[in-house]
Amino acid sequence: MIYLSPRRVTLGSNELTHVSRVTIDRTADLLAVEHSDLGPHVEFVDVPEQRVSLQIVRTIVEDEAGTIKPGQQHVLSLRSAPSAASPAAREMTASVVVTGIEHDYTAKHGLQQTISAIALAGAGGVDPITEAIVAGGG
Amino acid sequence: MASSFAGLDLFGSGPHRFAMGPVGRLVVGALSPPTYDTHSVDMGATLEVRIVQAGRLVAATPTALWTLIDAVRTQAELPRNGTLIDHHGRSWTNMTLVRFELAGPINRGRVVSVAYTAEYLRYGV
Repeated sequence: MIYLSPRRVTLGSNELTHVSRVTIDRTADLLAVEHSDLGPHVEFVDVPEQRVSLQIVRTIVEDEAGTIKPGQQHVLSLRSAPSAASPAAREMTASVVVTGIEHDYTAKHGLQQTISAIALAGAGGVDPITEAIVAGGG
Repeated sequence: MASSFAGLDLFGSGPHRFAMGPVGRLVVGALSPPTYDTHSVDMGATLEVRIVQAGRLVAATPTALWTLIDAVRTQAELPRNGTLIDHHGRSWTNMTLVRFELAGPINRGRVVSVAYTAEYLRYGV
């Protein structure tokens, strides 16, 4: 799942500006893979432990106080639409724990900040990402 | 073909494999009870046939999985004696299911499953 240039991104009480993308990766923390005596191929696969990781990539254009820190738990919210005139937008929310804030400078992109986080599920069986299509553009 | 034990399909919900344990002579090592000899001693018997089964029980719900687990546990605690037949028709007669052990916590993903080992023994021969 990816949101390119979302219109509005908030992480807790912090409004994040100049966000170029928010990506959501889903990976397996534990794989259950089984073979049998019937042949060489896998007969059973399941992913009983999964991780939803998020990255928020933004451009820093002025001095900022670093209020976001690893270990903090926040609600990440964003609204994304092709344009402000679009009839509908995608809204995503997730409770996340910040795992890192890193910066990288390139002459082409300027100073980029990457905020990494892992999404939390209220209960283990519930997808931690909530997405809805809402009326109105960005 | 499906495997079975004593005519029961206890493990058909998921994949499983069989392995035969060590076979040969029952030998007691040097300086071991009951003889404490300075050399190994052949006790005049063959090793008991031991078959180890490893696999995964699979169900749609935790309740259904526990039903599968309890069914195996019941047979292991009786104890149940019968013929063990693997997926290819190889059979071991007069086996007893002596041990059933979950390999870890129950996994809850697309389905509910748990890995296990089961051990069968042919007493005395």
